[in-house]
Amino acid sequence: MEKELKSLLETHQEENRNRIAREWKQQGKKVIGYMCSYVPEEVISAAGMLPWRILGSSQVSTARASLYQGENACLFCQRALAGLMEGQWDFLDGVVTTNSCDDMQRTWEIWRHVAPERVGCILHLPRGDDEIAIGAYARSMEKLIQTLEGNFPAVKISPESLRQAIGVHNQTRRLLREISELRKQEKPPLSGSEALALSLAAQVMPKAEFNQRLEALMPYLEKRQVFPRPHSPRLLVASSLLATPAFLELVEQAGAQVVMEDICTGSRYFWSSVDATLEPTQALARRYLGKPPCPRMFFYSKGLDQVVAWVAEYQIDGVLHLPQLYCRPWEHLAPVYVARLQEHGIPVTSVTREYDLTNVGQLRTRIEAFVEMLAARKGVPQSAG
Amino acid sequence: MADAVSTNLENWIAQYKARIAKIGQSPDRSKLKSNQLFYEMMRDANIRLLHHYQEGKPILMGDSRPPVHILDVMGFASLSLDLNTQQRVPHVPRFLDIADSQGFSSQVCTSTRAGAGLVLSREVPPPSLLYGDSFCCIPMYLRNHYLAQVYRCPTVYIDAGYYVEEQKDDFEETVNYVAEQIRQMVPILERISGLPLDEEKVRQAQEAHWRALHLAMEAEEMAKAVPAPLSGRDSLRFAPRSSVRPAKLIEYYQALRDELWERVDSGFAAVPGERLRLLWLQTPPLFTDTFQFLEERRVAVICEMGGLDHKRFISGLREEKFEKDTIFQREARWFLDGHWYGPNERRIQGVLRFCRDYRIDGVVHFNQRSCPYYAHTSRAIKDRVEKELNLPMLILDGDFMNVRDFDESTYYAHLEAFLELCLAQTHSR
Repeated sequence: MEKELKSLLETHQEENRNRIAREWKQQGKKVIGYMCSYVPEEVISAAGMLPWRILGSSQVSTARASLYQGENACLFCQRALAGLMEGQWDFLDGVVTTNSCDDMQRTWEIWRHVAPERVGCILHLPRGDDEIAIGAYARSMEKLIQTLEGNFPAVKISPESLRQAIGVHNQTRRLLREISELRKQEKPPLSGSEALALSLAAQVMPKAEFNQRLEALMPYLEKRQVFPRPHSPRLLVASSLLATPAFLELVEQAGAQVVMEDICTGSRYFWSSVDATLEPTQALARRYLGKPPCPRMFFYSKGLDQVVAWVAEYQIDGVLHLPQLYCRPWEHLAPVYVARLQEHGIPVTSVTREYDLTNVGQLRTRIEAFVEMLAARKGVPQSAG
Repeated sequence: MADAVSTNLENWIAQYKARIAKIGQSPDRSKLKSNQLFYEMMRDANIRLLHHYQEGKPILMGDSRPPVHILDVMGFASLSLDLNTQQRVPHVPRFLDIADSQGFSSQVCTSTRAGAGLVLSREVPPPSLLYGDSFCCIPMYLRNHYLAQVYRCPTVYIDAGYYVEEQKDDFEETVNYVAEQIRQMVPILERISGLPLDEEKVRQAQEAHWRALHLAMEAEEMAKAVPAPLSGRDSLRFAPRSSVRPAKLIEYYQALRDELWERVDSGFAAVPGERLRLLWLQTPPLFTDTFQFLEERRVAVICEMGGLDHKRFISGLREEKFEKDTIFQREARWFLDGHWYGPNERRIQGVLRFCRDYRIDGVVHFNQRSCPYYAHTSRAIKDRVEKELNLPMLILDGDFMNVRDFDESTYYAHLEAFLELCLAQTHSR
């Protein structure tokens, strides 16, 4: 079972996730790449296609992408654009994203400029969560449906196929939340890096297969225990898209347990489910706008409320705010994030990171200092390394 | 003893009065007389703001595109943080230091950080209400999360949507989406100001503004003449929405139009011996006189960013719609008008049209550091300008507000070299 778990956890790695998409294609099916966790995967699944999260690439040169994006571009968007421009994911039959942030929107438009013949769609993602916004996002979903049906004549997305897809995706989220619940234990079954790897796997695999494999592992996971140093500080790590679990491994090597994340590829990906009793596009809009919000949302203070709630639920000792360099929403809101947590007496530190795990020495030093401080508060002796 | 806010506002009012007097007394024909009316608008907006501050009347702090007619009728004075920081460029390094001390990353847009620093310096009136929208860029409204912590006052937002191309079917949906959000602001405005919404007064203000915009469009037609009747500085000049008073606007645009008419009629050249026409995209650095540099070299500069409501790309203002629209739909159409919001293709089309209409010889795009919204469009614009119009385009990276990051010699060397290229290409055509 440990071997099966390891296999599942390694799915997100670049070679493996590319292989999964190619294997899907070999069955005569389509793969749609998506770049934002607000893209309604269910619509893509309802079309019989594989929704495949674009996580960037570490294997291509960013030189061409940099010509268009210039200096200080979001590092994820740069990697994503580089992958697209260099043909790293030629298996993609289309690309979908939202206007989630300025970098994302412009990255999409640059892609359309250099490859206008490729199939794609950018969705207007409302910045509110009221009924006006929900209505607007439901209309965006209709556009996605029209794009897929218009470009792939064999595709027909009916309310029934949407409901079926919603059922499968809801199960994925339920399973991941069950894992998250287990991490409240003193000795969680997964480390932070493993939990993130599992969430990433869900975003690149066919959902039905992921669900089946994770269901089979659940009895094993309920008994599995990760053995951190006794009473080591429990951390929540907050970040924008994080596709490299090695960052969380670094944090855990510094002496902490990462028991929760506020990350769009982590807990914010699976936190809430779709209400299957509602009309499908309305239900999807409601779910996506109702999940813990991205900092680009007008109502982001609800996201901060959620973090405060998680701190209590997961008995968090401190929060590591780990924004990616040049991620505008996260960088802009760093003072707000830190101030809100401090208002609640929650220890927090903010450390900017690169897209890949680099500058390890500097990162480790800063994280170790934070962890040592937390351990001292907890009355736990810490040793270096 | 006067507080810092009152002192600052009084200083600005005095400065505008001095400029008005200077223009009135100056016989220099190369200076636009209608600028007097422009500065009167700015003076009056500051007087109103000072009065509101001292009397405890409602003030809205926000940038981009607040629904000014509704706000005005409901008794709000508006304060633009961005305009205020741009007017205080020598102080920007100080504001940045203040913002950085509060945890703002140095990678954050200078304009946003400087605005936060200005707020923390307590030199601007505190607002009763914060406003943000997604028309421009994300940082502009994200800053409000921080300001809300500082001021502890309510915030209202408008989301602009993405489907904003007027020729497409979904544009009307977007108009209604924005209109509904504006309508939903009204109860909050009523609660703060204590004034009910008078729809008839709003309608009258909008109709006056509409007449002003038609005059602006006539002025804009004059501005396209060869030689250019407007200097670069006058081309960049714009009154922010917060200072809009339609009656005065009509007077201003009428005067500007008439003055430009006269200039064109007499063959007046704002740049004597004009030999090149450059289109400048984005705001040039505010702490160096790019226009003087270029005009000394007989280059006329036409600025993309300029004119009230960025009138050059008025596209959503259709007469037949204006008559039938509700007051909220009208505000929504104005809100959405402007080529540089939305898909980059919209801006590209605007720039291409601009180049043709103004008979441009070369294009310069100033990439503001940490501004992906505009900087990441420049290369695609360059590709299209070069391919479709065979015009050269220069992309300059820099920071338009932070003099500490500015290398003057490199900046002007690039411009000089580009002018040579443009001249060579113009001669070969």
